[in-house]
Amino acid sequence: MTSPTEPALAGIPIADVILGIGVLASVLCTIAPRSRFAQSMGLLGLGVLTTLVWLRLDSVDVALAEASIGGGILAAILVWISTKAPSNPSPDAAAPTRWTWVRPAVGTLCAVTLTVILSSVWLRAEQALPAWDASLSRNMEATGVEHEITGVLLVFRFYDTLLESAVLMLTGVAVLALGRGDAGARAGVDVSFAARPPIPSTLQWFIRVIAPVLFLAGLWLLFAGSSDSGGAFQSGAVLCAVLILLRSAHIPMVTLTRRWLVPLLVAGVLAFILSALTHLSAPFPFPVLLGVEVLLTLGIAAGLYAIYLSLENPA
Amino acid sequence: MMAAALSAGLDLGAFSQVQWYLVLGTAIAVIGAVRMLLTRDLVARLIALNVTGIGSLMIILALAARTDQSSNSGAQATENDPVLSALVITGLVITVAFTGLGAVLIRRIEAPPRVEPEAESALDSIASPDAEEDEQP
Repeated sequence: MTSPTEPALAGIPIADVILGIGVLASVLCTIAPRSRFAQSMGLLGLGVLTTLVWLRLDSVDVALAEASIGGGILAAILVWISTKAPSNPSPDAAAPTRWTWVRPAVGTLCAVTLTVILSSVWLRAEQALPAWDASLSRNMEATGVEHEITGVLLVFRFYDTLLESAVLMLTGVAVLALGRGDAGARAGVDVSFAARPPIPSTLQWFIRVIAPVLFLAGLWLLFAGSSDSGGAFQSGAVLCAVLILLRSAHIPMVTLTRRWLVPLLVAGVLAFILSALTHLSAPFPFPVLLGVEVLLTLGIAAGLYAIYLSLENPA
Repeated sequence: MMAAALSAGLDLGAFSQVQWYLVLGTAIAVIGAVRMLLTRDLVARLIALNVTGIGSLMIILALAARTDQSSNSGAQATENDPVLSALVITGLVITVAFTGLGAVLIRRIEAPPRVEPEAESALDSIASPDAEEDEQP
C-alpha cells in the first residue's frame, strides 16, 4: 500500500496519491486558462476525477449524483454558455497593463498561505466521530426506508430536502421569469420553439439508441439507487438529460413543455409539504414515500430542464 | 501539499487517506475562492465558485468517511456517515441550481440588444406549426 518513492506518505494508498495529484492538476487547468471554453472543459474533467474520489471514499450514492448532476447537467449548461458567448466582454485586460504579474503572484501567495494554515489545522486536530451515529442507526427502522441516505434525506432532514427542492423550484421560476419574449404565463419557454439548425443524421440515430437506455437508467436510479430505494436527485438529473437529448434531436415536445413544465416544477414541492402535513406524527407509509420520491424526481427534472431551456432564451 | 504536511510538523506515519483528502479539499476550496476573488470574467467566476464547492464537498465527504482509529489501514470500510452523505447530495443540487441561475444571468447581461419581435414570431410559426394548436386563447 505504500509508495516506494514517497516514504513520507506511508499511510496513504498510492492510488489516492495519484488521484489527488491529478485532481490538483485538473483544478489548475480549470483555473488558469483565459478561454471560457478551456475553463468549462477543465471543470468537466475535474468532475470526472471528483467522481473517482467519491468512489475512493466509498460513497457510491454521492458518486452517482456527481456523475449525473455534475457531469451531465453542468456539462450541458457550461458548454452551452461557453460556445454561445466565447468572447470575454469584461476581460481582465481592462486592468492596468503595467504590473500584470502582481495579481497572479498575490493570488498564489494567498492561496499557498491559506492552504498551509488550514491544512495544519486539519492535521493537528483531534478527530472525533460524530455523536449521532448510534442514535441514527437505532432510529433507522422507524423511518420505513431501508436505504440509509434516503432515510436521512426524507425523514431526518426533511426540512433540508424540502428547502432544497424549493431552491431548485425557485431557480426554475426565476430563470423562466428572466426570459425575454412574449408576455404571458409561458413567456420563459416560448423562444425554445424557434427554428433550430439541422443536425447530422448520425446524431439522430445515436439519440434514438441512447434515449431509451438513459430513461431506463433514470428509472433504475429512482427505484433501485446504489443499493436500495433512493436517488431522486440522480434520477431527476438523468431524466433531464434525456429531455435535453430529445430536444437536440428536434423531437417535438411542445405540449410537454407548455402544459407540463411549470406544473411538474411545482408538484414535487407541493406533494412534499402535503405529505408532511398529513403525517405529522406517524412515520410515512411506503406508498407515500414512493409517491413523494417520484414527484420530487419529476420536479427536479423539470427544474433542470427549465434552466437549460432559458439558457437559449435571451439570444 | 507535502510541504504543507511537513511544515505542520506531525507524525507522518499517521497521515491517513482521510487526512489526505481533507488537505486536498482545503487546497481546492482555497484555490477556487482566490481565483473567484481575483478575476473579472463572469464565467470564470462562476466556474471558480464551482471549484470552491467541489473542495468543500470533498472536506465534508472526507469527514464522512472517517472510521474508528483501529480500522485505519486497509480494513474493510464500513458504511459512510449517511447524514453527511445526504448533506453532500444536497450540496450538489444547490450547486447545479446556482450555476444554472448564474449562467442564465450571464447570458442576459451579455446578450446583444434585442431583435425585432416580428421576425421572431414569424420564425416561430414556421418552425413549429403544431405550436399554434396549443396556443393559449
